[in-house]
Amino acid sequence: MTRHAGHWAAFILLFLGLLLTLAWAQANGFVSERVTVLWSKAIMQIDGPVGFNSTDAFFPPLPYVLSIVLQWIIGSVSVPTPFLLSAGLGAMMVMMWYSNLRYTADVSAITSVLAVALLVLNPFFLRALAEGPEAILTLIGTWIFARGIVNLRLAGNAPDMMKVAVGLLVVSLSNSYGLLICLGALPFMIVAARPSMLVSSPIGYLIAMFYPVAAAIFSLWFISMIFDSSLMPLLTEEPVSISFTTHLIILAGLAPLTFIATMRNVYTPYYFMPLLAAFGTVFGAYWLNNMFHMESDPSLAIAPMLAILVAAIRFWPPLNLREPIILVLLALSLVLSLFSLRANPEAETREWVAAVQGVPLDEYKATQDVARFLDGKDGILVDVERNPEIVPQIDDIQRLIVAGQTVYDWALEGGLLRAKYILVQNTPTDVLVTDRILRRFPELATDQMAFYDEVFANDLWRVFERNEPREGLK
Amino acid sequence: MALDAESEAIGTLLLDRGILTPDQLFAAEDLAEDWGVSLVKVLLSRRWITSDQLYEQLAFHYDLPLVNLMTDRPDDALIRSFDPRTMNDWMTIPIGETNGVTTVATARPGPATLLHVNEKFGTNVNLVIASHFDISWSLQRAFREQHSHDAVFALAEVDPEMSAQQVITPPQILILYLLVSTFLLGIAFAPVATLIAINVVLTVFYTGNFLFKAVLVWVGGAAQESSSRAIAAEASLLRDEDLPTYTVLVPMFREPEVLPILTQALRNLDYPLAKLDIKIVLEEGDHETIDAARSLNLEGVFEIIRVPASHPQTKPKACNFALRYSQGDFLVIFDAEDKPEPDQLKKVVAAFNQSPDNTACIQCRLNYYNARENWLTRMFTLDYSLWFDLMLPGLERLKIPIPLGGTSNHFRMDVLRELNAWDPFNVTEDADLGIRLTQKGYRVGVIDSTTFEEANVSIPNWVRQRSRWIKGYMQTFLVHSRRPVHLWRSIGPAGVFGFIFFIGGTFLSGLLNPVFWAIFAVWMIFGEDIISPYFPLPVLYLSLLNLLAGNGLLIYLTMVAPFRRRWTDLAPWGITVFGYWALMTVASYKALSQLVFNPFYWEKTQHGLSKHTANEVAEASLDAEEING
Repeated sequence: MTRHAGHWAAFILLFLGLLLTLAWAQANGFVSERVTVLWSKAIMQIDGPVGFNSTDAFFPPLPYVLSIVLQWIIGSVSVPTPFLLSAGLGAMMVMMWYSNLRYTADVSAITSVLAVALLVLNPFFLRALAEGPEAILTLIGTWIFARGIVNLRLAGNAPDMMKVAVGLLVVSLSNSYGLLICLGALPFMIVAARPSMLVSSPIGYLIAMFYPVAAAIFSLWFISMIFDSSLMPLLTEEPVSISFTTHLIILAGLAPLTFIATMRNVYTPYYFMPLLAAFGTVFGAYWLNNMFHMESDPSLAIAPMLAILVAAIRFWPPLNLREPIILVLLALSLVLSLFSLRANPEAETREWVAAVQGVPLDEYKATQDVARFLDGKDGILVDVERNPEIVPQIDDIQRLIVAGQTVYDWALEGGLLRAKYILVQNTPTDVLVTDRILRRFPELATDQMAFYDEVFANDLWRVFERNEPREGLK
Repeated sequence: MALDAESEAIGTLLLDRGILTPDQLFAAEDLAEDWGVSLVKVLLSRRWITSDQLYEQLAFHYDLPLVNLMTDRPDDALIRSFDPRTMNDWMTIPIGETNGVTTVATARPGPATLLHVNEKFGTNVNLVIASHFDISWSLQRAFREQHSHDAVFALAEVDPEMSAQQVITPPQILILYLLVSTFLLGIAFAPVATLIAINVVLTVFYTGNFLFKAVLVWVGGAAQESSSRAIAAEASLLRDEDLPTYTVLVPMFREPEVLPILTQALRNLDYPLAKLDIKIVLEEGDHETIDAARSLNLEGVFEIIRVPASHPQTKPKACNFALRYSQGDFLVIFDAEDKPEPDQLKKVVAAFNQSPDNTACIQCRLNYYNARENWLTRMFTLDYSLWFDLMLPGLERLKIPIPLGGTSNHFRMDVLRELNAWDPFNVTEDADLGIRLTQKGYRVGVIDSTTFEEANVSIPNWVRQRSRWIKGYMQTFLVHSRRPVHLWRSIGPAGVFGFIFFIGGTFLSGLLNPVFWAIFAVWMIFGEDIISPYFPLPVLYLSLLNLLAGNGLLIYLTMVAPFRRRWTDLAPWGITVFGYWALMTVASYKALSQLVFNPFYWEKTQHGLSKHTANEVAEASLDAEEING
């Protein structure tokens, strides 16, 4: 009972601590795009207009479902639901890491506490936390996968096989980059396999290991097909140009130390081979990402290596100086990771670094301004799926006119604009327009739309108000 | 253990008379010492001398007359006046009475028997010697009617609530009637709401079924590794002289061709043959198999039990009959084509030693030796690997009643007799007995030792076999759900849920699958509009979850199943399990039809269709011919 109470107390403290780091970044204007999208989707699904019909696929399904469920439970609060989810999942994962080190690896309590503290303070972990549940679930999935693959080599029983499958399934259902992790794992599954499993049929072994991922992809495709939603555009991101030197600096935060922890078992193949496979999986995914661009931020692409590092130190041989070496390694990793993140040119990570350092961001302010302007106004036509950041800022979501509602569908499909207000992006002329209202009515971009006048504009948004009575709706 | 004086004297006699060679005698004496049994028992387990020769020499040694009870029939009425089990245990029966002197025949002459005879039959007796076959046969003849009746009706008379003799009870009929009435009223007055309600119930049931199986595999896969090692270690350390007598029942019907394989498999067991009490249980009218068994000149530890013809003509009835003549402390049933791992009996003894006192049965794993013969055998192997290697250990770990599987279930004899053994009206009597044992406060354990069987190679044969199993599960479900409160109290909530999903889920999913497949087909062909009135969004999402994640999970579990045995080549075949489910559906409807129209009919599975079995039969027959000259 006391132990359970202690665990709960530790979890709550950890949860609040992680939430505090997110709140600090949010207070300075940083909310990641993924958190915004997820929060917006959750709000629209739970509190949005009855007729709302999402055209985007149900992807990534795991964080999506969890966000919707949490939104349904807690209702509208000022803290983004994905932040709560991210902090909760993050705290749970850290507790599991502690338990794994303390009880399974038999590391002393003080070292275990210090180790998880160093892991939590690692900038890659905090960055993943700020990115939202997608990144945290990817970390969890990678850790489950790494544990499973080592245990599968050791014992080869069904739950270990299921751990590998669950791990791959979690990453593939949590993040499009997870699909690359699965792809990255493909050659390394052979490296990790027990020889006895390969003797009978290596093909059979591989098919069984990757079936869950294949089934998940098929299921997503099937759901996307029957609900007529588009999945593929959600899988890839705009690539960011990064030099080879920068890649090396970004990798320097986690990869070398994880590799060292893996090599520590080089003379015990039943640990070394699966750990090497786990390391190779994430490294391979990072490399593949440079071609497929499923994760535009290289820091987030290499962040799952943190989970491999935890698995590797868990299997560090219990010899003299094991604990000091583990702490030194993790401390060194923390310091190197600080440099790695600062070297990352990707905009969102730079913004996060700035926000964490207390520098306020302008974009967030611009959206707050338009929300303030729209306060009390009803009948606002907006493409919420392309402008998700507006959704959490609107106090009463029913004031929005969204896809699936008659006025919206008439406008987008029939060209009949009847809404009282139209909210669109303020897009520079040389930038690809994603806002579907703006694409359907390009006259809005030049303020030449009949019966509509621009009544608000800032760096990000423009608002138009109808200047004629709406005959069609009388 | 040193050889007793009686054995030494008998050995010397047999050597002097040239019946045994010196080498044979030394070997027999060594075995008798190692096994802790008499020389006579060792000789009965070898084919160095015939049973007739042995009993002739015993008669000479003890200076007692040798009688042939087949030609000089004993007085059946006199035999019936004594307790059959005691007579069977001592292999001693009264055969006649003249002028107040009882003539008692024994197959185990010696001081202990003499004391027993004096105690049971008085001091005014004439002792004669008869072979144990003669005594056993005389007992079977004398108690033919009584034991035949008991084999069929003992459970139904003593514990009718636990017998499937009554297929469905009046309260169950009433509940079914009310459910059907409610459904019809619902369809009449609120058809959409009724269909949605049914849909919700079934969808939730499916989800529960999927999750339950996943939990079982997870728990079952992790279980046993440490206990298996402990059992194997103790089994290897067991001394032969400490091992108990083990009864092996082999019920057969019209399978003369597999007898040589069976007897060889039993000889291959790593267990003192003299401590085995092997009963080949045959129907009285199955002359073909009886003649084949006789022609094999089997060792004395093999005994043929002839079961009188009566209805229902089922395997449990035959086993119940044979149980009356069994002498072991433990009992196991093997099918004719079974090949148990040689150390199985020792592992079971070790498992009983390490288990709680209330452990009444140890179930061993079943799998197939012809797994790769065709698609059906591959699927059947995946099915059995999932069931026996992963799910049953999961049930054991979660303390959920275990439906015993066809063969290789090892019982404590005392408990088996206390519970009136198998229900002859239930066509999966083993599954029923597993649930009954748990309800009566006993535990069933599962150990890591495999018996390899012949997988069905023919689809019609498979459907017949599976329809019997499913019908038996239906019977078992009906029997044990008669008293739901009692069930809840005796096996607890986890046991009840497990029982519903494991027993009920097995046949219900077979029956319901085509309904949902049809709905899915309608949806795909005609679009969402036609089904949307009956599938509100939450139900639609849950159904989609079942369709994709649930079925995906079951396929995955099927693929995981062979990994424990490193049969990775079978894993990809798991993707084709849909075809197997379709066959299950056919078998389920056949089972339902039989439950209604012919509930006690035993669909016989034809064995020996496999090429592997055919080859082995040919080889074993040649070997037998060579041995018999």
